[in-house]
Amino acid sequence: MTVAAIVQPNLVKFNVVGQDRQAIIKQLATLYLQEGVIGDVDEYIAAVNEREQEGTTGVGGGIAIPHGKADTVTRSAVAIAKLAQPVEWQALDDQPVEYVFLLAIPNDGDNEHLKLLSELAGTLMDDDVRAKLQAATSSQDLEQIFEK
Amino acid sequence: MSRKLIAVTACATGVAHTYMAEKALIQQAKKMGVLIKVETQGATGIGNRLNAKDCQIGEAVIFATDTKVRDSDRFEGKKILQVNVSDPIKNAQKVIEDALALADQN
Repeated sequence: MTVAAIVQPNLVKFNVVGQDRQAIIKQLATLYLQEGVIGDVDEYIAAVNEREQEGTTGVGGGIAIPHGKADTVTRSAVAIAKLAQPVEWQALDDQPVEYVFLLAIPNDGDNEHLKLLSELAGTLMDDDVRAKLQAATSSQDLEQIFEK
Repeated sequence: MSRKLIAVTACATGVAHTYMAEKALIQQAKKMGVLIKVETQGATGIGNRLNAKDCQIGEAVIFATDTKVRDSDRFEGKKILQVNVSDPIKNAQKVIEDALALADQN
């Protein structure tokens, strides 16, 4: 399996509107609920926020990769959002965040899918991938970045 | 001859930062002409495990870890640079330079 196998079109959103980090996380968590990735929004968000408090998930280059590991997560998933307006994320490079990759991690997930999430996270360090994120003008463009 | 470093990356959840730090170190080392082998200690187990030979060859070890390093007795007697897993993601060049400087210390 390749990274593309874990990128679902229904979980890729372009020009997501939200005033801050919490608003964005809430929206994507609600999307997860609709898609059956999680069973409980509050439980999932609590896990995401717990991780945020340990240290920022804003990794620089306008990218954040928040993640929540919880019982309420039914399967490994990633929700990808290009924000309409960058939001503050206390990122490592002090720049606001424009691309959010919210990971859903089950407590008893199979290794294969977890590995795909890890691989996806790794690709976000590629200059090439970062340039493609900047160039994307639609959710289809975002999906295609990971189809290789 | 190229400089040689080894590294271990690990984060609390073991899914994202471990692998971003790995990629950051590998990409930056390549730019600097430094040979590096990076072991990932993540939720899916250990990746690119550093063997006895790797540990012998590495001039210094970078621990980019927010959790306890597994099997750390492999690195006994080595010069170890301990940083947070986010440090290479933020500035891999500084981490590598610091590790090389540590290796050069008597």
